[in-house]
Amino acid sequence: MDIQLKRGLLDICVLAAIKNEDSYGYKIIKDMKPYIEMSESTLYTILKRLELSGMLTVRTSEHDGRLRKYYHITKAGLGRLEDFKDEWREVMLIYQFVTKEDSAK
Amino acid sequence: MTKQQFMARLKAKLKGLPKKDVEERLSFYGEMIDDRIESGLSEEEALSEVGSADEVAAEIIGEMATSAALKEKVENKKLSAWQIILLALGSPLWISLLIAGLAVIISVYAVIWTLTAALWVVELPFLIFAFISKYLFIGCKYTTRGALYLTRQCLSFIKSTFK
Repeated sequence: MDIQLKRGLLDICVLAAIKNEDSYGYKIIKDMKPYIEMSESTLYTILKRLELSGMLTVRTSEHDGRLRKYYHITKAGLGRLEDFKDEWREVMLIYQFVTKEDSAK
Repeated sequence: MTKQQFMARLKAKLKGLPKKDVEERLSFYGEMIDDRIESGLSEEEALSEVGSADEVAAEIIGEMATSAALKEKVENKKLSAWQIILLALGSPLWISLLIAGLAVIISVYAVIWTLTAALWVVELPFLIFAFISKYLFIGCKYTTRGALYLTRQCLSFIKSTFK
């Protein structure tokens, strides 16, 4: 996939991965893997960005004698996912426009 | 390689970055490795999935550079304003100062030759009185010689700067 396009989608995917329940780094990567692949350093950067923009909050809690960071989606994050759904309808219209010529042939 | 070796190597590779940022990234990777081991992978397998410390460090630095470049793009307006100021004020100012400096040097040089010429002119009426003129003549001679010497020195200096 085009890097620019993927970059925009990754933020959305990370938010989607924590939409239903709080999650942690490795689980986010694992849950996303069937759909979109990302490296650890990319995930770190995205999580940081989403935290700074108020889309998610971070809490550290103990797990099996060690610390693990859990990510929790905020109202703003859920709003961002809703916006994405609307935006995607527009993208689908563009897709139809792009593929119009093909079906006419 | 063990997890500890990986962490030590990664830490060493990220030495130049802000300390707090490095600590945070290290704990992030530590957690990633531990979670992989917990899900049933061996330490070796977990590390190979995450990638070598060198690769990870290169990725982190690359990503930081990208975000820094994006920031710079945003601040580009400010930069170009400064560039305009420098171009508008700085450059012509220095050129005119350079020209003024050269003009001063040339005029000093001209004064030296004028003085020499004046001495010769003054000497002419005294040519008849050989005795008095003898000393004035010496003055003329040495001033001319001095001016010629100065010219030669200047020329060789200019020549040497272009070599």
